[in-house]
Amino acid sequence: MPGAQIMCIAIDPQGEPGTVVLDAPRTRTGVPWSVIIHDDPVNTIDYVVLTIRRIFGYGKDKAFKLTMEVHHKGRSAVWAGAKEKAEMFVHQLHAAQLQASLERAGE
Amino acid sequence: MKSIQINLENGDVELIGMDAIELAMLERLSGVSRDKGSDRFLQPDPMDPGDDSPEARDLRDDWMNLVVPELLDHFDAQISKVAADLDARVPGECGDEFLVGFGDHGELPELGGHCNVRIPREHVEDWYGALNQARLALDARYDLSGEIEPVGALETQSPAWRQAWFHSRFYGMLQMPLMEVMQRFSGLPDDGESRSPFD
Repeated sequence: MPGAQIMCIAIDPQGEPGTVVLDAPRTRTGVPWSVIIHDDPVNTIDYVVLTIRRIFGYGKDKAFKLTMEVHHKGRSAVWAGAKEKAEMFVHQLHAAQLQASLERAGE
Repeated sequence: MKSIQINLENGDVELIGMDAIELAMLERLSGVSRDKGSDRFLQPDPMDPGDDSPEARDLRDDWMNLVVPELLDHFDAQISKVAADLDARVPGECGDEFLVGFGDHGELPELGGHCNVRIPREHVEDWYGALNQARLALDARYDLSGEIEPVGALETQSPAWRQAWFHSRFYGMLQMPLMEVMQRFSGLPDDGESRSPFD
């Protein structure tokens, strides 16, 4: 199930009856994923601003600010949230011929 | 090319008085866009290239199997629309018949008459995308993004590089009026306010 937390529960054969050993969760649920746009030498600032506005619904000022961050720093985290949605956004950005990727937020 | 006209009411664009060289450069779009260098946008990496975790590998596999074929179809459709609009060209204002005989890669076509090409509003974004594909592929293959200083240094580059550079500049020039149409007819509010539920 997407996003479900899975925990391994093993019965410790060496322990007392009823002893339960909990492994660490197999998935880190609730950790948001960031959508990253990377700079490239071809796509213009106007095009990146327009694309960001269309895909994410941001206003002109915010889209411009994010685009300039891409331009000056080489990349910008333009959105964060659930992984499935991040994948959808990266797909749309790739269809717009922008270089984009997803990563765990905060990494 | 004599001029590029934008119909501000309906967003149609017309390329007026294109010559044989310009037409040849546009007819090469499909070949240029699928040449070396096109992998960057045809097979984009959804994860950081340095991430070799099992999770990243899984997503890359999914991307190759599910997303990349869709992207290719989408990008092919853009190029097909450009080809269709080029095929529908009409003799230009100079009125002469077009001489067909564009020669092989690297040779100049025979100069003949001129033509007009109409880009209907509904194809503007496809043209933009097709031109972009070509520029991305050319830049990846020839590394065109650096400045040429002094201007005369262009002559020191290889013929293939110079041809790629001129093609890329021509495609970029055509993208400018198309971007104008895309911005004017985007339907987006012309203010700084966000309409996003994600803010």
